[in-house]
Amino acid sequence: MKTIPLVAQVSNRLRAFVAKRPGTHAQGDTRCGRGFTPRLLPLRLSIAALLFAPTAPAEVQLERTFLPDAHASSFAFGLPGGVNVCYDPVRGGVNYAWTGGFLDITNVRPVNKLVKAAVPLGPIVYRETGAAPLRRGDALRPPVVEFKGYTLADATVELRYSVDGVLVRETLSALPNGAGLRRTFRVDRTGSDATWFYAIEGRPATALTRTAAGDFTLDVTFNAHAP
Amino acid sequence: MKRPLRSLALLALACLAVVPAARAGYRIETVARPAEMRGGIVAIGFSPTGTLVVTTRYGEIWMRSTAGAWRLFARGLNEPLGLVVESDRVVWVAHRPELLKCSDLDGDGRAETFDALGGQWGVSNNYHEFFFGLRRDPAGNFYGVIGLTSLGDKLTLSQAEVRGTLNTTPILETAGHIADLPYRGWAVKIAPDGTLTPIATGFRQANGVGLSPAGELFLNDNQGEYKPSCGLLHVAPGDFHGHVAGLKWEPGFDPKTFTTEQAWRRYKGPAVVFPHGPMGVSGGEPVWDTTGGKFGPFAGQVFAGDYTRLVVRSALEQVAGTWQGACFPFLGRNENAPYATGEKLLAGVLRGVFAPDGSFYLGATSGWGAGADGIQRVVWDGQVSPEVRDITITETGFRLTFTRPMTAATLAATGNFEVSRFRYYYQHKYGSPWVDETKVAVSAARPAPDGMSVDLTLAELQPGFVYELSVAALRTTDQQPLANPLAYYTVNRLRNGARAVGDTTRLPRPGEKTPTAKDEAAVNTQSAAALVAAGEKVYRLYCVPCHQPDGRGIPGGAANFVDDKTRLAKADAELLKVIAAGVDTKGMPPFESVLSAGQRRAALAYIRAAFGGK
Repeated sequence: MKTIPLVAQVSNRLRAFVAKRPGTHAQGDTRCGRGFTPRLLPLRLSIAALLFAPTAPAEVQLERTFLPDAHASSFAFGLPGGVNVCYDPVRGGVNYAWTGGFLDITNVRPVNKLVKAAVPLGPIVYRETGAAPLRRGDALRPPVVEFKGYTLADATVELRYSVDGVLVRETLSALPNGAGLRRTFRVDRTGSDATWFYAIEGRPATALTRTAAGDFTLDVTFNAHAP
Repeated sequence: MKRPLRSLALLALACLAVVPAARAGYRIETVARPAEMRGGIVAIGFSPTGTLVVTTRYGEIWMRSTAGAWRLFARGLNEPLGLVVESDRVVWVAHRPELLKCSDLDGDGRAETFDALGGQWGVSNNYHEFFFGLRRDPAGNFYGVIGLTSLGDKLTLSQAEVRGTLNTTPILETAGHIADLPYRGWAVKIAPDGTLTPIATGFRQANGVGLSPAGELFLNDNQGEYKPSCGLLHVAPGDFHGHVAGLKWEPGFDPKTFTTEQAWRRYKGPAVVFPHGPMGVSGGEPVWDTTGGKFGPFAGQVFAGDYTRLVVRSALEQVAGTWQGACFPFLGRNENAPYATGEKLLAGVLRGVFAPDGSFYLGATSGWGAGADGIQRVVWDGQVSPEVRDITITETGFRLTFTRPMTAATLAATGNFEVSRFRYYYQHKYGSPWVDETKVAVSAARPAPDGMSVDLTLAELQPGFVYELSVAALRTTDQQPLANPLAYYTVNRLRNGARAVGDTTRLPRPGEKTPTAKDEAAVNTQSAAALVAAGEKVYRLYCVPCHQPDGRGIPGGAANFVDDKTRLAKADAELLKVIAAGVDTKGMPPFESVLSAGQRRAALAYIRAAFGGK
């Protein structure tokens, strides 16, 4: 029997600890997963930073694949700094974020009729559910979202989609020290006349305020569970 | 050795060293790939400037400059199984969720801008939901085909996890290949503005999309339920090509009253059937030879790779408004000099493209426990190998045209032409045996004076059958045999326009004894020699695609009977068990429900007789 070195055993156990998988969520439950213990989050983040941050690449990583708790062909983006995002173009939003390592896609290589989801290599630190959250004019009405494309930059990703026919450019970037996710929404001129809301299932809707540049900015910090 | 003599000897050796290898016909070369490239090649093309572009199953796009330098152009795509190369900076790919335009707008050599187009079809996490393509017509419309979901009986899709609205209405029996999500099983056109138009349905997993130089759409679909064999399908709006699952997305379709017979009556069969076995088992992209003769004497013909180390060549013609024609093994069934030299053809060569210099590039991907990932280049060296170039249907039979003049004596002897015909069942079961198989007498053979063609008159010629022609006895004027003496012609129509319902299929008759049962009875009454002869046919139809005509198999996959003596050192009982049950981990399918016990014994008898062992 092959002997696993002690260092590797410890490393594997730590990685398993920080990458503990989310479970099934009840509607409106925005916790990070079954067995998630909020008081352990700082410890997990610290271990994740130790294990993964030194190897985080300097450019955006990307896999369009089968991810847990997301529709087929969702995006996994790995931003420099160890901030990773699942963007679901069918739902029309960021389903969750995790920190640490990027993604193990071994499961996705077809060995069965239903492939297994890829595995995020770090703890889920943000999650949202429900219909597409970005809404124009009416916070309660689920919008029609159509995915248009994306652009990769050195440290950011721009997602393009329409919300009720209005083109939106959303830029994802990591907050300093991997503490969270900055989301900047640039709305096409045709949609500038209305109030825009961010509405996540189970939480009060937020009216978005324009910056001086005319954008909407939303900072998602990973020690909070509501935008 | 005295100095002058030694000099002469050295000179002679030097001359030998620089004498070019004898021309053979085709040379197969390996195209080196960068070590960082991940996954098999699933799309291949050239840019207008001659840059080679490939995609991999792991979602990457790579470019190789004309100077030979590789660079990663894009990554993170979801199985990009087709591409259209617009320029060195813009590549369109067909991947699972949509059509994607990948652009390098900043000119740094890597795409950073990705624009989605289309994508109105349903997607789940099922491995089988491929989106194949990609071709573009002069108006800018793209063409692709959306594969069926493959679930089996015990799995279901959940609306919460899929894109698109589920419609779970069953349609006849589909053995787990379903189209519960929109437009699965359909060929589609995607306009430049993203508008999607479903064109035709009946497709199962058409892993090859081609547009002829005249703009006609052809697909190469795979064998399966309602799909007797692979074949080159000519696709026109409103067509139904056999698999019933996709019909639920046809406007006005009523599944409650739909019957198998109605499906069969609508069925449009392949323009060219690729008989399962001798012409492969899982075909790839059809590619037209537009090289104007740079690739040999096959200009205008169609080449399609197959999973089983084979490239099939097809010659099409339009008869009474219907496309049909012949297919021939091209590479893979006979790779020996003087017909081909260099590397062995890889298994899994499902993508192809002609390079600006007229060479044929092939992309291979592994799977099914065998095959290989890689790129190969096939180069014509100017030597015309002896082949049947073309077969066309006449009023009374076929005209065979050759690549080189044949001896009049061999052409004039009717006994040198073995002709038989068969058709298939149209059924919900996977594939079909050959049915109504009959030898067809050649009543006259009239060679052309130049020996370049012969007109065969057959005792009977019927629409709705595939005709097998075997011409191994023919010789060129310099006494060479043909490189590939086997051909199949699909008779969808006669010259007078006659056509059969269901094209090259018929429905099984109630209570009809299966051909397998008939074969079993025949095998049981045969002598040892006759058993080997019967086994030769079973081997040719069912075993050759993987174990190859020479018994040397596929590296990493099918067993090599010749060089690995342990393979046939096992007892008959053990080998028969393997044939019956298969070896799932090695891609060996179980033949218990396909071949009778007698046929399995016959196959083993032939394998032992041909390749040794106990």
